[in-house]
Amino acid sequence: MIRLDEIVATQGDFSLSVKSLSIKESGLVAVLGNNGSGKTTFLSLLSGLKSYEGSYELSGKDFGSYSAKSAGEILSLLPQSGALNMPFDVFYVVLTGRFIHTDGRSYSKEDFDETERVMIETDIMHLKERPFNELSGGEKQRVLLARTINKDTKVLLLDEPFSDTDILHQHKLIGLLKELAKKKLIIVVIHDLSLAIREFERFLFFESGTLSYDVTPEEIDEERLSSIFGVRVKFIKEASKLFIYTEEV
Amino acid sequence: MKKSNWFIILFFMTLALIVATVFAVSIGAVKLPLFNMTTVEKNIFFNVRLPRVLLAGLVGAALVMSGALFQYVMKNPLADSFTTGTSASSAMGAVIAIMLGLEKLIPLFALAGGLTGLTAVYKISSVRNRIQPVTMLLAGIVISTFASATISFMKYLSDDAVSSIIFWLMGGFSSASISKVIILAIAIIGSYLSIRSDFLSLDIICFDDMTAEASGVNVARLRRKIFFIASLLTAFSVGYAGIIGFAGLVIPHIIRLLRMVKAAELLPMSLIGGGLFMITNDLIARTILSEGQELPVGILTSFIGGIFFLTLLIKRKKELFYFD
Amino acid sequence: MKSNIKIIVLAVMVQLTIAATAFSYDRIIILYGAVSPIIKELSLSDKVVGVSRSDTVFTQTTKLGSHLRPNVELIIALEPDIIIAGSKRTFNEEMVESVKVKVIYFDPQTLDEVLEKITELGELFRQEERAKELVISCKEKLKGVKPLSKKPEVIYEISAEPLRIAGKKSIVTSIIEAAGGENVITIEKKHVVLSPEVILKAEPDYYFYQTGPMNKNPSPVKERDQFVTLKSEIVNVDQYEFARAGLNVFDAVIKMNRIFGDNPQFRGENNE
Repeated sequence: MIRLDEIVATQGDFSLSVKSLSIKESGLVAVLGNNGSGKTTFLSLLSGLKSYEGSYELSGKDFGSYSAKSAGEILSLLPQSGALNMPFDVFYVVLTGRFIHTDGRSYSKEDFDETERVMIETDIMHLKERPFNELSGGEKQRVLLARTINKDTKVLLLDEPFSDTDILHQHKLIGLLKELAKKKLIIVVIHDLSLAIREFERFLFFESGTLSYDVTPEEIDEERLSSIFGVRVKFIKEASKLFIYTEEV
Repeated sequence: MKKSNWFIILFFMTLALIVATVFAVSIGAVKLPLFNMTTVEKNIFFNVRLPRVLLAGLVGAALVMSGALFQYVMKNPLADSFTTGTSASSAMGAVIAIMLGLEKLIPLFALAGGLTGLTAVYKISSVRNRIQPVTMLLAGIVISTFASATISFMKYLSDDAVSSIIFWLMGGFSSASISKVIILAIAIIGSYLSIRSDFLSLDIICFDDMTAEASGVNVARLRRKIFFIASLLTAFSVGYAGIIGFAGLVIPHIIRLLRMVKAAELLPMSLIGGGLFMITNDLIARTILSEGQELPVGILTSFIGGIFFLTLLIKRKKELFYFD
Repeated sequence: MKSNIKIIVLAVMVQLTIAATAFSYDRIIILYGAVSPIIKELSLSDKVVGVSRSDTVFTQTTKLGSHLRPNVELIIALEPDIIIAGSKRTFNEEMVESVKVKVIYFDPQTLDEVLEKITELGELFRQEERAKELVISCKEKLKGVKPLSKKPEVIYEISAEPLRIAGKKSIVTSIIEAAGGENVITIEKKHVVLSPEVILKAEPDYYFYQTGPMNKNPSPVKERDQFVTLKSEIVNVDQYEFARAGLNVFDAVIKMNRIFGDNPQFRGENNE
């Protein structure tokens, strides 16, 4: 689905480089790394909001050959600090995720039906008529995630979608993402290492602007993680469950 | 808001607008019988009163629609032609046209002035593609003050005596004519039609730019278009009626309080609400004094708008900042 | 001329010694252009040390800024002993306070008040005789007014945008009345911001509109959309001739009276 080769994207002093990366059509991929390691830049790059040098293929075609609209039909991005400054009701906020599927003038019956379905799946139907600006931080985050899912594209790029969400809903949403990942590629920037290792299928670790460690859960190594994060990382296995313990070096 | 509810409100607002218009054309400095008018009375009705009421309504509609549009692109509920300094810089353009003896080109100069002022305010107040509301207000004040100073300076240069330039600073509809009414109506209808296809996109640019862009909206292109249309509407209103403050701020806010937030609801309602507001204000302005004396309508709208703004600042601080 | 002045000065000085209350004003500042012709007629030209920017009589004299915003520092620097200003609006109490000399205002609203002012100025500057002569010549001028068969109704436009019309307190009303006409507007103000409806309804016989600083480039009245149907006679006049309360008003009366008299509708029986 996605193939990157000798990619360099610079922004001011910062530069992101990915030597070679290939990601298949579906699955749940976690993007990890410390602050400023290039995770967000990586998602921007994939979504086409950042210019780059090198080769980026999406669905077997050079990314440069896509128009903004046609790329938008394949990729959805949930930015980290999503904001909205009009008191739209929640239903409408989620509905606007379907914009790319419209003629630009009105939403169809299908758009409404899809929106309702996604809202039920993400457990926000009870917020339907509430003005967005009156929601709590976690609720807003869930609504914006629902909006991104509602765009219904093959690739979802989510930048820290759970940072403000309560544990109950984290579990529910991860369940939903896993379900969706059977048919879609979902790339998630995440800080919660335990959650990532427990639930994701592949990990991309970034260190000071470079994709440095690309592994599956089976291959993952404590020592390597410790050096990436600069903390001591220990895996504790108990009754086939994996726990992760971290402490300052 | 439910579509059916919206149609009911739209229906009653339109009705109110019609009633206000009928009321406004039947009351004035001179008492006119509605039927069997003499030639003079007909002249008064068709050459003075009707154009004036229509111009007031259209200027109101243009100002309120431009205010609503400014609030979209500036991502700020306090944005309108007045607070962004666009009115004052348009007036500056208009006065320059007068100084150069190019009275016919007033709307064009007003547009150029307005766009210049607006661009300056936008550039000053946008930090990393986000408009800082307080900075925008401050920049707007600075640009307005600068433009007013330039106007005063030109007034001083042209002659000390109180000349008609003052008119631009006070605002009013005394120079209404059918030709102005027609031109303004064309400008409004053209603007409305050209942005009607962008209603959904307008709602989406209320998100942060990254989200909006990722949703499939060409934010930069849309913003440029809206800037231009909002400035155009401001330029024509200022060119024909001077600077009239606050209408573009007050009316969209009230409409949003009535839970009509989407562009497809807000903008049509802005046109009707703006017309209603200004026709009523002008009716008061030209009938409150005796014997056909008139009050500049800008005094009235600024008075009402000022009280509204103050209430907003005191009671609804939260709402001012949900725009973040 | 110079010796004349000397004699006058001498005479004033003599008077000073006789009557301690009398004082000779030797350094005059005029901040309202309409006063200058009167001062000239009173043979006081040599005493004028400063005038407003737009003064048409004393063009070589030191300029002190506009009549609306005179420069107080320049005024004080000229060490005047009297200042003649237009009104309290243009030369306020604080300014009077700071210049520390006598300030008189010249703001007549009728022809009679203009004559009174001339007499007052004459007394103030010990030029009673000249003043008397001047008043007589003005009154003489007014004798040229010819009777009309009936009173024409008049509107006088001060400015077109916004539409401001001369009200009852304007000197223009006095001119119109002296010329045999009648100002349609009776509101007790100098200038009235007026609805054009009132004018159309009143159907005045004459619509005078002025050109000058107050009304820079007025478009011809009949070309304005509101007034295309107005049947009144339209007359364009100079603001300085009609709307300024000075010696000019008497000529303005004659001019206006002649305009009325030339119209068969108003021509008096005894005129040809």
